[in-house]
Amino acid sequence: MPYKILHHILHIFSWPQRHLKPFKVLLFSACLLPLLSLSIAYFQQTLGSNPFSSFMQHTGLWSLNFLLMTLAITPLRRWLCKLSRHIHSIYGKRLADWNYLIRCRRMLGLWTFFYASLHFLAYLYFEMDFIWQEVLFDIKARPAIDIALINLLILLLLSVTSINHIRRKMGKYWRRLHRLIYLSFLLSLLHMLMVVKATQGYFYLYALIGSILLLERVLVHFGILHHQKGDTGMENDRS
Amino acid sequence: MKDLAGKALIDEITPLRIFQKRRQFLIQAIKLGLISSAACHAHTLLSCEQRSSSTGISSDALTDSMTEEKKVTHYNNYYEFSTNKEVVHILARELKTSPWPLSIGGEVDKPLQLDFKDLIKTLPLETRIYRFRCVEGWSMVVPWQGFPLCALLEKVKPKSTARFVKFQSIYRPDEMINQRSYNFPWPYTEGLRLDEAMHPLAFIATGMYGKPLPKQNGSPLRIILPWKYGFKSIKAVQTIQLEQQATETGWMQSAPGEYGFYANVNPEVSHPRWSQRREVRLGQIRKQRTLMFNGYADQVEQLYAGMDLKIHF
Repeated sequence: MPYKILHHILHIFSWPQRHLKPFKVLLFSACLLPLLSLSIAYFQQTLGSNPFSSFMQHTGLWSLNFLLMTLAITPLRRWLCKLSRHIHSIYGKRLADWNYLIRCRRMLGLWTFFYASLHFLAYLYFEMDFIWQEVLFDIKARPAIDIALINLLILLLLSVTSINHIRRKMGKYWRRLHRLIYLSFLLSLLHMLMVVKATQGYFYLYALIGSILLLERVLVHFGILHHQKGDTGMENDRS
Repeated sequence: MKDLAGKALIDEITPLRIFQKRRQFLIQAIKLGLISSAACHAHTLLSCEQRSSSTGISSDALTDSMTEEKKVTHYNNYYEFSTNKEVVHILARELKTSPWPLSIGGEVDKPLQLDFKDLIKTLPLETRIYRFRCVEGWSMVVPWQGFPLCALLEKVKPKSTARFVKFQSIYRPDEMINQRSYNFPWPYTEGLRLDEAMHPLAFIATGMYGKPLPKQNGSPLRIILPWKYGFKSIKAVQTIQLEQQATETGWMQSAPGEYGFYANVNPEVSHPRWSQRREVRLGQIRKQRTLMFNGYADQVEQLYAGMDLKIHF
């Protein structure tokens, strides 16, 4: 059995499918960890020489991390399914076997919005001291802030429409609206490029991971990578 | 209970060393700050020594508390080593600062070539507590030790044809790791108008916090221009040239639309990519307003009378 280890790994990966509730609790707690570490550093005053900059970087990067995780769900499910078929695994050959990933996506998206909001509030309070004339001046002086505001609006819109009731009412328009996540990702990268020193390595790492996630979708869409029938990235996919 | 109360009391007592430092600081500030307002207009008539003794620090530095030393030594914009401010203090260990040959020449009657060690023997050191504002929007308050720049310039007797001063640091890619890969017109070059360089606030620092200047902060000697953005305060100076023409500084060559020759701190003139209205002190999390000429307007604004500071940024 050349793939014996892979079988075991896939088995572990499919554990949440059978235990969704506890998995979601675990995931939720894990998403709290960046907030926890930030709070500890804030109250113990271990944010370094420039606590302002550390606070902004931490909240900004974690928002982007969650955005990337949200974007990784669809490709991850696709590739787990492909892998299961390739090694003739007993379990996991259908897209629906990995539906728990889709069920966790909203939570990751909402955490993206949470850290982005924290980032924005820190900007308003620490940087602008809630002086609105200063904010207006800043919007005029920094294109990076305009981009961030548009981005925050998109994330707000996506978060509000993630409520089940609204989502059901929107029907097919829900998916179309939520494609804005790709725009949000591009705006985040642009914002990062403008506020962080362009010479620092982070940007390229995020741009690289993001491009892979977007490129995979493009290749699948145009049939260059194998496209499974009925794979729409939604829970009720049949395959 | 008794023990606890006793311990708390001891902890609240200011250590003797810090107490003495504070007293020293206060005495100096009062002495210098009070005289400075009266002597301001007479600068042109006084010699360098007289001028410098009258403008040690501005009195409002009293309301600013000094930045913790460790913050100043562990957060450095020093592109010769890295663009990451938090690792410079490690990378800068490679720099060899002794011997350090210095040359001061150009349009002068008595050009000077000597080692840094011999230079400091000839000039009395004093302490200046200055605000320092980086163009990126962070700032600090540092007690520098050194001597006024004009004291050095008067030693070499500038000719009447000298109108500008050019400062140059070193090019040593063997020791300065980022000079190997970072695209910049090395060595780091800065410039001033001669009257700016002769201003009593312009300072050469050879130490800070009562110790020799750490390598990451510009050892063995650097320029300090508290009313200008930090990048004008060139570190590890090796050559000073007096010239007839203004020099094109490293940042003017590298990003001409973003950095000008003057680079005076000015909250009303934004950098193309960000506003300069607010700044954050190292160690603090909330930003505060940036002051015109970094709070030294009373002392330096006459240098720029009649100039449009939006054009001459």
